[in-house]
Amino acid sequence: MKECTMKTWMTALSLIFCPITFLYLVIYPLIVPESQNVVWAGFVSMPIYFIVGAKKEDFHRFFYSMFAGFFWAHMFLRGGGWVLNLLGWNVSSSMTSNLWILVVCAPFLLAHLVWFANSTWLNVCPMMFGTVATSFATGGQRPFGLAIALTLGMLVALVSVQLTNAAVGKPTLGQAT
Amino acid sequence: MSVGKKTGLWLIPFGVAEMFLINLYFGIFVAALGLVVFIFAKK
Repeated sequence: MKECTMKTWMTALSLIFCPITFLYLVIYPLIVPESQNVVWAGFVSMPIYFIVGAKKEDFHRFFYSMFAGFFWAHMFLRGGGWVLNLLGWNVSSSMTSNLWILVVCAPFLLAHLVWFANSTWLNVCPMMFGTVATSFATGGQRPFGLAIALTLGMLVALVSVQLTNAAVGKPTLGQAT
Repeated sequence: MSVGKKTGLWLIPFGVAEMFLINLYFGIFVAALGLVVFIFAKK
């Protein structure tokens, strides 16, 4: 594999990233109906995957973690309502939601950072939080559109990095750090 | 059991929970994905 400086690699990535993103923005509305359209969600998963180098050997872990993230997103979203309906509960709805998130965060992180961390691919908590954030933004609606946008966002990062590596090589180790 | 098979196995209960929490069809999709991963992942 040939090598290049970080500056050359970043320049090539910038030039390759733009048309790939353009393709994403064109293709997404063609495959997702208007009722599920959340094209912006791709720009949440994209940097999460970019920041760890968008390696192809990590893609499956990010992809499957996203689906576990939907479960936790809706646990966060709906749990506050369940607690509010408890008899005798006399705390404001916003504080109830905050308390619920405080309680649910512990099993969420323990499950995926400790219990499932080495035995399954469901161990990418940043991607799960990305799913939680986008689900919050849509009020828990449009799950199919979100899943497709998050997946395509990761694919944009993956394809951009792979094409850049193919075009100019990997950045040299001294420059990459 | 391999990491892939365990991932598939765990996606099934996540999918079943999502049937009730999110949307029946989305939950079925996730559970089916888990089943496919469980069946086709390397031993």
